[in-house]
Amino acid sequence: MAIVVLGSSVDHALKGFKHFCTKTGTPCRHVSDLFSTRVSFSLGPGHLHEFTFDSLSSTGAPPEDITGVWFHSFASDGLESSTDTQYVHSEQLACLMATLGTWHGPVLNRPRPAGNRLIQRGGIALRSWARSRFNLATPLERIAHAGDFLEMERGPWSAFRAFADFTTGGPSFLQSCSPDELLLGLNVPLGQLYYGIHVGPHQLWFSLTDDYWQQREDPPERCRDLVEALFEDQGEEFGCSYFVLSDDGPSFLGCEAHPPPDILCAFGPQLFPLIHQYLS
Amino acid sequence: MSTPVLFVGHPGDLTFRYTCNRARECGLSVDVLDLNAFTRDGDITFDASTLSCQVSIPNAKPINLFTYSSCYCRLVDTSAYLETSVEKRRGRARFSALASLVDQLPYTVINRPFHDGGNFSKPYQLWLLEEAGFRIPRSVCTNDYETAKRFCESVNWRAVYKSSSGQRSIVARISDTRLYDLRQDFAAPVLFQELIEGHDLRVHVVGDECHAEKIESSVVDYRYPKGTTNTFSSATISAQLADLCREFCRMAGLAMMGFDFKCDAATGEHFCLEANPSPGYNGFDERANGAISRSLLRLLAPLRGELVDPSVATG
Repeated sequence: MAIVVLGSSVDHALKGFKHFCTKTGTPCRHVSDLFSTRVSFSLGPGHLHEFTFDSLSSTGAPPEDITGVWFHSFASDGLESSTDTQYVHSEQLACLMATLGTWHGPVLNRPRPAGNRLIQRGGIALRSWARSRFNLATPLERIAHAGDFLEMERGPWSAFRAFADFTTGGPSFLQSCSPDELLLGLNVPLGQLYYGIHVGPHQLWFSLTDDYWQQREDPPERCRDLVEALFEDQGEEFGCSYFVLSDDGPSFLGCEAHPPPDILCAFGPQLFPLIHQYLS
Repeated sequence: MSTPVLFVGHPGDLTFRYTCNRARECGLSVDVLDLNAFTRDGDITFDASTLSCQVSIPNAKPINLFTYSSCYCRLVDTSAYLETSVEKRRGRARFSALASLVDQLPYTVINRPFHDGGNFSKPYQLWLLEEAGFRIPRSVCTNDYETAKRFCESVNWRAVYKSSSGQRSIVARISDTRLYDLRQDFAAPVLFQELIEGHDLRVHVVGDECHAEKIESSVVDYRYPKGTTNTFSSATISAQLADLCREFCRMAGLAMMGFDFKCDAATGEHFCLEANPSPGYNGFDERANGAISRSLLRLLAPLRGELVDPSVATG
């Protein structure tokens, strides 16, 4: 019986998880090349909902020998500028989404129809949801030109993020942008940054102090509630959430279904056993 | 003067242009946000604390997204067609920002961005449709020659093939020689489906209203008649089928969808092929004397009472 991880061959988090599996003696197969993968997915009257995803099993064995799948991301894998390559990639992904979306075993994260997943609709939707559902503070946010944010820098705006990128900004980031670059700015209150990771029924919490991540057992209760509701209501199995705890209480910044690899690696010793447990 | 309806889309998109014109014909006031111009050269200022969002495009009237009460949108990201990498990046940021905000507008939006009813993957959507109670054709999605061959043999080669993703493809019959030719270049999985012999049926669901049209064609894919002539006629569907369609729309969070069916000539059973979250309904509407767009416009302007539709008045 094996765990399968799907994603880039250079992804450090997947490498770390494979290393963890090796240490625990769990077979782990890594599918990193969608282009040379044989797939079959059949359905309809008289057909079982069954699939074979050949690379999931190097021996060609049926998927019954797979205990769980970590579907990480193929976003940057092998995508050349060629239209043909992109076509093959999108068709392979479509078939993969069908197989993982309908498979009976545990999947992190199971593909579902877009739009039914709040987490995929972006930070603006998430923060709006948090405001209305929990009456939880969220940072002031604006979409405007970099030039306008530079003007506001003298005011209360303390942090900026590139729209749809979520790279931490700040004045030096802003100064490197052209003045008419369109950005999403968040006025993040000063305070302690909390990071919550959700794996199945488990929550892990960390706080950032002086560039050092520390595991926490005492995140603010409202953060726990929000993360639980967000992941359970939306049917997400895995993801991370960011909060800032200031004198005014916790503020929700956003969350992601695909936590960044560097974060996953930093939390690997605590996180990988939970992923392993979920997929075993 | 009633509040205008906000229309967000590309003026080059036939369905979008058609819907704008129908709204104006029916006496609705329409403000158009030209997505093409916005992606290329637009500006957006959003302030979550005051819920104000000003969208500006050179030489066009500024639009505050939060001052409307309904919106019709067909969002397609065309930033990849801009010239330089910087323009593409900016265009993508503009598009993402607008889509995120339209998704959050506190009024009727047809259809909200991001919702696709699983249409990104045809096999996945077929599974969802079957789970919802629709009958679907036997299908296999594969890039393995032997698997495809076995499937085609199991249905006596009465099978068609099409793309697996949401990408549009011309549906065609598969033969043993065609499949044999494909095997050399079989990297992408292909969706093979049992051929259902009979007429096509298109059902548009708009809110609670269903509009059905029967299509008789001598080719497999009636959208590409290749010199032949399709015969279109209005159709009625069973209450059970209408309920299934409405329920699927509710599940997908969409006010409007276009369902494609094949009706088995031997049994009369309807097999669902696909549910389109952004239907190009204009041709169907013209033949239905504007019935689909009237349903749509009633959802967009519920306080207007009965629409004054000249296409009905003149018969």
